[in-house]
Amino acid sequence: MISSRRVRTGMFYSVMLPALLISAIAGIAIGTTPLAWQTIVKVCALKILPAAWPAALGFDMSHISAADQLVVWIVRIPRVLVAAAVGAGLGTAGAIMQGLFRNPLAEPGLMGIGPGAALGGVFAFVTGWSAQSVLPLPILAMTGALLALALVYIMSTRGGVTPMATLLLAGIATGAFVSALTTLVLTLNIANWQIAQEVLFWMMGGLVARTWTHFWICAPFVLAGLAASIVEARELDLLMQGEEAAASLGVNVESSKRTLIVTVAVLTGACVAVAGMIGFVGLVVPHAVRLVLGPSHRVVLPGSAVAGAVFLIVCDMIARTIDPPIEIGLGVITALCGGPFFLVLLLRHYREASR
Amino acid sequence: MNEAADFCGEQKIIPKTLLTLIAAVGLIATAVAHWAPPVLAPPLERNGYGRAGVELGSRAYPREAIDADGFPVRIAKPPRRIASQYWSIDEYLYSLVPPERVVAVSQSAYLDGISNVLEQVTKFKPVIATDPERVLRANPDLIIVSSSSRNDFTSLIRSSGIPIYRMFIDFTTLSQIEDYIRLVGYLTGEDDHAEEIAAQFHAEIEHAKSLRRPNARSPRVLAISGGYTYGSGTLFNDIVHTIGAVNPAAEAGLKGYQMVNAEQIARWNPDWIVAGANTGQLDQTRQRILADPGVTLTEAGRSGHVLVLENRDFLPMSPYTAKRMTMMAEAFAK
Amino acid sequence: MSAKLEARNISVERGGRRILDSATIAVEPGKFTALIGPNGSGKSTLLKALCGLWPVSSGGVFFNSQPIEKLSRREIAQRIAFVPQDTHIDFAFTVEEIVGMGRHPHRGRFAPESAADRAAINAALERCDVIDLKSRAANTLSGGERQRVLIARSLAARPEIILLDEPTASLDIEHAIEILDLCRELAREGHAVALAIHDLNAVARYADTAALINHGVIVNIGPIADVLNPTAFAEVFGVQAETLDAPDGSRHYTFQRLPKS
Repeated sequence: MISSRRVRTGMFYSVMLPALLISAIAGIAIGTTPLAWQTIVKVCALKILPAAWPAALGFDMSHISAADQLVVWIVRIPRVLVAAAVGAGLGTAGAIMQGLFRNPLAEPGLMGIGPGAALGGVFAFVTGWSAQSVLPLPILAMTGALLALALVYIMSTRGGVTPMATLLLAGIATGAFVSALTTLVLTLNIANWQIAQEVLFWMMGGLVARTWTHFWICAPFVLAGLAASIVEARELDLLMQGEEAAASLGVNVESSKRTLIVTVAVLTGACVAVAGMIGFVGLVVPHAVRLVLGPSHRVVLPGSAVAGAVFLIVCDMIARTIDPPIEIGLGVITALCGGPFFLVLLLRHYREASR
Repeated sequence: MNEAADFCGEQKIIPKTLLTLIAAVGLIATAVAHWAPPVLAPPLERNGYGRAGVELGSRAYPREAIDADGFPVRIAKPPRRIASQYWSIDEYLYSLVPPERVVAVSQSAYLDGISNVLEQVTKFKPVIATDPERVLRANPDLIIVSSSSRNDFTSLIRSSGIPIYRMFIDFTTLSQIEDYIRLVGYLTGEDDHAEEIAAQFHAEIEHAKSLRRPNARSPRVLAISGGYTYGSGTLFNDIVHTIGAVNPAAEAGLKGYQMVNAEQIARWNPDWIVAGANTGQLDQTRQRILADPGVTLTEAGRSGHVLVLENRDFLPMSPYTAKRMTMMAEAFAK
Repeated sequence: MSAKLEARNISVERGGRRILDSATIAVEPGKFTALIGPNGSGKSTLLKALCGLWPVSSGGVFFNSQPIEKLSRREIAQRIAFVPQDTHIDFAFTVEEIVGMGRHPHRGRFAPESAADRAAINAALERCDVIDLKSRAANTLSGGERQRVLIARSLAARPEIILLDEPTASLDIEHAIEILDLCRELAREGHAVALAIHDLNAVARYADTAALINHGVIVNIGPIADVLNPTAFAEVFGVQAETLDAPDGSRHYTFQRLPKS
């Protein structure tokens, strides 16, 4: 009986939330230069608490240099926070996709949103706008993501009805088309190796030099997307029974699908905008969470968010520590970690199904 | 049973109008990308600082300078801990400021084969500026990075409040180098010393020019570097032109750093070939070039006029460029 | 219960084809109505149109004399249940969770499970004899068990009208009889029950009224004895039947193909 193997939600969070905290702390503690954990705590106290409190609490602030403060507050903490936000966003988006398509192999990349965001980003690089400030890149990436979604949606919706099979085809076709456009733009600018290098780093995915600005760009969208998806959690459960079944049980199928598709686009767009193309998070994390917690989206959605955050923080740590100071592309690590893990999940699934 | 068929029936997936629209958008995007007006082109392709020459502000502190991105960089007081991330900028700094003030350098500064500043870095041991953390640890009060460095790094440092200047480094003329000597002097507060070095640089240019024998035919000088050559719009071209020689690649219409094949070399028939090589490989490189089928058909090949310089002399685009210019002028004058 | 669901002269078109043409039918409380006809005749379509899942291109569907388009999906779902033909479930929802989904039309968006919900779910589980399976994962059930679970899901909503699309199509005899017995009970209790069904013998045994549909047109509608006649067998199904009247009053048919003329 598979259901008896289901872990209670309480147990899941009692493991995952500490894991999130520990991995975040480890992520902040690990870097290219040594940093004592006491220093980290003191800097946090300095930055977060009102001015008089740290001294009043007995913290000895005398050995905290300006460099320490900068390294903790500007280099390490934003990076871990962005990793958490992006992991949560991609995990949630993956969970929604797997529910919408009623297929555990679905993932956010199927609707052409990732390539759309990539094209927007490449556009920011090629026009030089990304050099002006840190904002044009994420903004253009989000715009690209939403335009790609609009294109996919228009192509697949007839009379207010969006059949998922058509949506999938349109998504894949749009993804291919937009990727081709991206390659075209790149080729026309290939002589400028700086642009080529920037684009390559971005497309491999990475969290190098993430700032608080990146966090503030990404986090609100991730929170909004997670909230929107939880509101539709029960509808998503019902949609998984089949669209006709859901409609017969009182769900406004097309309206729910629309909300969920836009939510996936917003989540994916925000994540690709600040971290480049990172795959596998949206595929493996919800799948694993569902195996542990069961398929009800009330628990799978927040569970995927938390597990996604932990997964990405850990992958980022691995990316940084395999061969310092070189950083392996984050997308490479998630694939290397996620791939075998996914194979194990598949094998277990098929072994059980054939029993 | 067949839900998809039930719901979508027999509809056309993509109507003709939408297809036309997509094709139109694709064509327009291609056109824009190809014929992008200058305002869309990245700043690098425009000539460096976008104005004629470098404009230096007043000498009083706080000083302000516009960097290659058009950002105004504010320097509150004379910098005492300066970080560089790029090999050319290392060379500028060590030419102009007291070496103990340089706290971070590029990776190449420590490389025996090509570094011009090995002695200084061995003595003072600045950190290698590979990532934001290491740079910040060195506690710099001024950071100079190249205009080809990653945007992310620059944005991160900008948010820390430490002045970071993104410097143009794709020099194409000697006068740009002279100007930038003064600029780096301005940024680092070593204005007088910079004036000296600039004057020295200028004097070396004049000296190199003077080495040219009057009434002699202008030698045809071609650079060969790993299958590539320097055409018009390059520093090498400007050096050749300044010392009274001719660059056959530029003559043939080649622009920038381009591939060159044996046929072109033979056709252009240079009198001299200039190349760079790592320390200890100069002879090897010379022999290899002389053996090249295209080179054997040229004047340079026949008379053995192949000048191989150490890479540390052949490559720099900084005050150290003067050395290359002088070596070339001396060689051609014989 | 006095709910009446009727279609008045409805036509359904899909992709330029007319699947249903001028169909008029009423599903009345206390009656077991069977929709019969060959494959592709429009039985499923008629059922789906009746619960508002498919829009009609002409005519109207009325629930208690109110046009069904005026009702929200939720309002419809509270009173009309539809059990689809496809029972395939890929995901490991438990039986209890699936039956619990049947309460969706009655639950507020964030409302936790109420006592009424719990009572309805348990009653439905009992009724369909799946209460022992309630912690089982749905993708480990047999075809018959799944069918019963889906019916339980529909019953959890405490509907007045229940429409079932080929509920016995892939079931073995024991389970098919189980489902049909259940449907008859529900009809006796006052629900309006309508089934699309292939098995003509079952129709003869269980149904009160039948509608014979061929090529999207209701060819005949009325009491079983009237609808199931040799002309129907020959023209619509292409078979001839030997009738056997059993001592208990039930009628049985043995079919064979029409001889070639």
